Amino acid sequence: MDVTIVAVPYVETVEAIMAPALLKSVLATHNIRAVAIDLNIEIVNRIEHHPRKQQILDFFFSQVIHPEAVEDIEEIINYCSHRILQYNTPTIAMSMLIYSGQIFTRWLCARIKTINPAVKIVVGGTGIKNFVAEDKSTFCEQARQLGLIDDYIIGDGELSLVEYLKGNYNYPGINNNDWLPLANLNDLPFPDYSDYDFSQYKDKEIPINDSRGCIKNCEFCDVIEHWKKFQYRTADIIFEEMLYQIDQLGISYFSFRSALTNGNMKEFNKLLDLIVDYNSNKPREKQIGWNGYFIIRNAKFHTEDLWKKISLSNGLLLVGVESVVSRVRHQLGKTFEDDDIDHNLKLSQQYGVPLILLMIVAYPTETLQDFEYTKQWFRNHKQYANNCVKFVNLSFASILPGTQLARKSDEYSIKKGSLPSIWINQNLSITTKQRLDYLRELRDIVVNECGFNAETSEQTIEHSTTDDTF
Amino acid sequence: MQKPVNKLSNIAQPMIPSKLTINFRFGLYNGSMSLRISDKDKELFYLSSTDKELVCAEFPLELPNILVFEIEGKNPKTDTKLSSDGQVIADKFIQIQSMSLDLIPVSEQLLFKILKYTPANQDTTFNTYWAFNGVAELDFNEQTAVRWHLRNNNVFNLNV
Repeated sequence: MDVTIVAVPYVETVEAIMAPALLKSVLATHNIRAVAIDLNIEIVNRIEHHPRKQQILDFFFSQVIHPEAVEDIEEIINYCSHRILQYNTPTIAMSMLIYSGQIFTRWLCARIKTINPAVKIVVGGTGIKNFVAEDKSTFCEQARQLGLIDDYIIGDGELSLVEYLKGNYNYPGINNNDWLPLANLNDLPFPDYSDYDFSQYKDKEIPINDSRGCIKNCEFCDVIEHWKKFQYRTADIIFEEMLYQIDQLGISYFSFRSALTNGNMKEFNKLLDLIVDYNSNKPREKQIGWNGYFIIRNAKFHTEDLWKKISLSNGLLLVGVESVVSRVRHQLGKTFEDDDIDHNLKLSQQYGVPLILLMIVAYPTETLQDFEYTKQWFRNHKQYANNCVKFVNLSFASILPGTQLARKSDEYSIKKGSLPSIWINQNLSITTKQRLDYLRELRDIVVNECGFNAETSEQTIEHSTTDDTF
Repeated sequence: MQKPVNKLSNIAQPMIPSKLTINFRFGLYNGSMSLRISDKDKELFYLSSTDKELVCAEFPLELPNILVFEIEGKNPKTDTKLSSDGQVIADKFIQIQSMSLDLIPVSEQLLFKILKYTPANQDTTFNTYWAFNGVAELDFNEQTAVRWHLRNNNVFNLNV
């Protein structure tokens, strides 16, 4: 074995993490032998019923050490280092999906390098930066300086990890920000999940990629800053991968890992046709099902026929509405109309397509009147609660570094605080506390008055500031 | 109902001695002080004198352990230069600049809490700056380095 590729904890998911499996198959095409480990699920499962789960999570997310959890944390570090080193490869590639993995990665690398100082550690993935679009690589630089890691890879690792393992350390993206995106996603091999034990995953679904980047240019979004060009895979190739994975793993539910599934309507329609045809002669348990992000379009594109196909393909859609206030929505970059939302909701209900609505709560340009409008909007749409709308995700508005919104802060008269969620639009003078109160009130209305299921990020809701400016 | 899990794993860890790295700054005036570092059993590092301001000491360390630093070679009458108004303008001293145990930095804050320094004929203080002959002690009172860091709440600096 040449390299151990590992998804490092902690990501709050019971789904498989794709990166190690994809990189394994990419490396195989270059005759580089790899083992792919999803350590995240092993730790998620190990601590799920642990009596000190919260104390352990406090360490993962904030590096807070509760005395009673010291031995638990040490055991996790030891377990992970043992799992990684057992393959005895000269190189370890650590894939970090989100930045919360940075804390544990430091401790894990220190342990691994103590046991085997000769092993090379390279880290990559969107989580190696605090914010995907920021220029700084603070974590990587610190980890290199302390001798915890040898190198890091920014951007798509499918090319640069290969070059790294061939010893071409000057390749773009290795220890610098000037990475090269893939020329064609269709050239990628199918992920090799043979090292994964799918019995470990509570959600039995196979991650699959259909695109990178986005066709929209939403000002709050950091994905478009990272993958500047929209790239897609053809329906034929995606479907071929689905059939391959069903054959390999015996699982027929897929989770699209991309910013949107319906970026290219021609390919999206074709993929639905292929799935519907596949499903047509199979019992429900053998049919393909899927979930993925979805953008709203008008009735010309999202016809009744399309919704019928989404239903027959067993799709679950994560729909980025962001704001129900038309002016705000258009300004942030979502160009669909109120009628389009209603059209899509109506057809999803008609055809029994479950939706998860993604909303940004208290967007920087929203006024107190807009808050009232939003509350009323949910009251007016409560007929969709648990009747097509499975969940409403209420996300507290943040200004992520490196985004268009961050660059437009002066234009919007936004003064920023210490965290992305702490800011104030000085023209509107709505404080962070007011926004938090609104988030809580909206959640209460959405859940208790209207009957929707709703989720908010507990961590962001905890953000508060003592600075009266915000 | 799931049975509560207390042990996460039973994997035996390899018995590898820890590695301690200490970066010292030597105040050079009329030469340098000498430094001997030993544990309960043996001498781990010795420097009779140096003409370098920065010196790195790195050695394996078995845990638990107590490190003893013996600092000698200073003549208090001749090895400190004072200005006419009594300010120290040159001195012979040893200072710990940084320390890491198994690659994890030991914070300055923690060192000031646990590094006992006893100058000859004086009371014990907690200090990383040694300007008198004497003895310093550092107690690594845990079985493993990771546990020692965790128990002492010694964490990575995330605000770099």
